[in-house]
Amino acid sequence: MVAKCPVCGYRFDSSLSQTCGGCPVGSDCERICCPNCHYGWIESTPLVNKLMYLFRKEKAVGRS
Amino acid sequence: MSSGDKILAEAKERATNIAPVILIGNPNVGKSALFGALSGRYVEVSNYPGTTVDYAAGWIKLKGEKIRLFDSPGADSLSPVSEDEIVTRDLLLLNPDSRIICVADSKNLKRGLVLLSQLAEFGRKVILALNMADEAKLTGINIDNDRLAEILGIPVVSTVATQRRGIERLKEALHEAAVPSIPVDYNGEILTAVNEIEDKLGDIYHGARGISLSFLSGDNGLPSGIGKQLTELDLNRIKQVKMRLESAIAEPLGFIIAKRRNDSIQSIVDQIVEAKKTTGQKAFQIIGQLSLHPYYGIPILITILIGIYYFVGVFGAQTLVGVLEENLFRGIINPFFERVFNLIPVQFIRDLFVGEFGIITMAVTYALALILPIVTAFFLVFGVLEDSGYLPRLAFMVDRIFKKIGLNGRAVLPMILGLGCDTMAVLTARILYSRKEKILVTLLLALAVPCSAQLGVTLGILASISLSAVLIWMMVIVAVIFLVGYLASKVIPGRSSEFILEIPPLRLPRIENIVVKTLMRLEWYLKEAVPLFILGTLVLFVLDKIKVLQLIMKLFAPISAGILGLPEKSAEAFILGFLRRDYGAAGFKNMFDNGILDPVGAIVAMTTITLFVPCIANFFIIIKERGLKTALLMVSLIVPFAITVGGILNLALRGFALW
Ligand SMILES: Nc1nc2c(ncn2[C@@H]2O[C@H](COP(=O)(O)OP(=O)(O)OP(=O)(O)O)[C@@H](O)[C@H]2O)c(=O)[nH]1
Ligand SMILES: [Mg+2]
Ligand SMILES: [Zn+2]
Repeated sequence: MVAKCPVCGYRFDSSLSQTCGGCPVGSDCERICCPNCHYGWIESTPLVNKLMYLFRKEKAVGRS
Repeated sequence: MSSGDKILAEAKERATNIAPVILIGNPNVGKSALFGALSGRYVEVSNYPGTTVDYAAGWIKLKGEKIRLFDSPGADSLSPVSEDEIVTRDLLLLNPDSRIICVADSKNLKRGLVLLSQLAEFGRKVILALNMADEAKLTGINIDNDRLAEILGIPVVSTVATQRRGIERLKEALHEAAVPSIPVDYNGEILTAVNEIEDKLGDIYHGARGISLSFLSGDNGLPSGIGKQLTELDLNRIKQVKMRLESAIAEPLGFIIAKRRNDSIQSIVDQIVEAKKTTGQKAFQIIGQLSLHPYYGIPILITILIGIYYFVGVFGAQTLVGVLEENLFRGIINPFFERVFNLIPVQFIRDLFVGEFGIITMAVTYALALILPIVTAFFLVFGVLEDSGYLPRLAFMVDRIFKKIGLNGRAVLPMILGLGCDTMAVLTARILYSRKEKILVTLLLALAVPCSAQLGVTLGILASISLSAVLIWMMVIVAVIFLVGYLASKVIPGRSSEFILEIPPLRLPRIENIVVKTLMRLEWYLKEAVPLFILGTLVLFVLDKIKVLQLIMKLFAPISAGILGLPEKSAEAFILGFLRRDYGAAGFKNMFDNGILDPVGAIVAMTTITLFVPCIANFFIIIKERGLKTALLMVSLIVPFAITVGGILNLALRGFALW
């Protein structure tokens, strides 16, 4: 996936494998780090994604 | 799924997927937000032009019928200049019979109509969504929708994607999608050329007029693969047409075409848009500009820092923690577990869970009652800074300050902003620098730059002690960072100029966005931190059981008591702090609350621990990247440095009665 840094606007491939591969937190760290300015942020996590999906579905059904 | 099932599923999809609907619009106008509102699927929405870089697909229900819905990257033109625009143009060409929802920012109708006129040239059935109607209203922009619909001959619907307003009307209007009529007054020569090219392309592509104009406008005008479908002869002929036109017209073709288009659209806009600026919008624009100003930007920055202090330090670390820790955990939850575990006759198990170093009474209590409220407050604030577009402005300001004093801002800047990633920085150093530089960068980063949430936690805990505690700690850390920046600029000269920032507009942050981002950060934080908290507690528990803890305290006494002026017991918090700084800080806070540590001790302890290696993960990365020897060397530099700074601070505060 392509990500865009919210601080500097740098665009890069966010498949973390190549950059964070050495980290002991392992492959399931959801953090994305900008290689240009090192700003780090979270774009998605499994649990919250699921919650959001349920929430939005309910909202979409409820309003239409 | 077997292959048979797959084919069936695909066939089914095709059957319901007669004509997909595509959202197309300028960057940052709310396409993804609309996509979410229409399909119920979440895609990233953020206040940043170019957030969506690939198209996303979902479903939309229209009168019980399920139809494919695509979100696309923002485009200002279908004569593509950027990669995003190419993606969007190709998405359009791949779905020739699709209906388009052209999304425009109500505040900037002209820009949207430019794109719409191109959709018209591509012969697309379109409806127009005038999004951000709320902001337009705030801005005092008034658009005559009915008149616009009449001129264009297509439905025009005002929407507020973020509040799901106008969504139903938009869905209904889709049935009336039509090719818009926006006549553009190109001059004779251009028209002749367009017609000639259109003739050649007409059989291959629907909307050949659009492609012809796009081809004349720029280098990427022809869709890839078109060469295969045209005969060599025809391809050469259309290239000749372009060359002929270019030599006939003095100015670049793209420029002329865009100018003609602009003029025609301006005349429409003049008829239907009425603009008077309101105070609300003016204020945002002015603040947005002031926040970048070398002098006026500073009071804004200070105001924001004060806001952070009150929200994280006072509200989070005092009010929330008070409720959670004192009332909920110490009052209800822990006594409950103590009673439950007291039923178990084995002392060891009781100690393990509810003893002095108990998993529940220490690790879980610290994590949920003390640290969780603080990081939640901190993440909320960060969400606001991020979503409002202030963060790049802050980066811009800090970078300028760094540059003024000749320091290399780029290397350490985002870390100072708080959510930098040390671990990542260690890894990128791998690519960027020579061996000597790598080691130095790693060392400097590990030394001075507190990562992300740890910064927030330390800040919050200090704030619950006193405002002056925060200020003193901040001054020391800033001084160290400047020292680091100075050294870094000596080692890695000339890199500061490469730091390019894009500055998005300042706007009111979206609550939903902030909530989602905060929840995600919290999930991530808890997953990463809590296991280490439990590990740290277990380490203390074991050391205590085998009586080594006492020994460590005794050995450590000359440093803790002698140099830092701290009680023996602080060894415990330092052990925790080696696993994660924020856990160590929580340990000190606990000592402070119990009266074991005085305010000066707390400041000294927190400062020392902030300068330690940020977390065990970071340490392992250093081992992996630089080898065990280098890692140990670094630790043997970092730890004495941290202790020296702590010692000096202790002397200054106590000895010279600065406190
Ligand atoms: N006030 C207001 N804000 C909106 C509205 N729609 C979207 N936004 C905000 O505008 C910003 C951009 O929204 P996105 O949906 O990411 O825009 P986009 O068009 O997909 O942007 P790109 O993918 O970057 O081209 C976000 O901060 C949204 O919260 C609206 O109707 N009113
Ligand atoms: Mg988008
Ligand atoms: Zn960046």
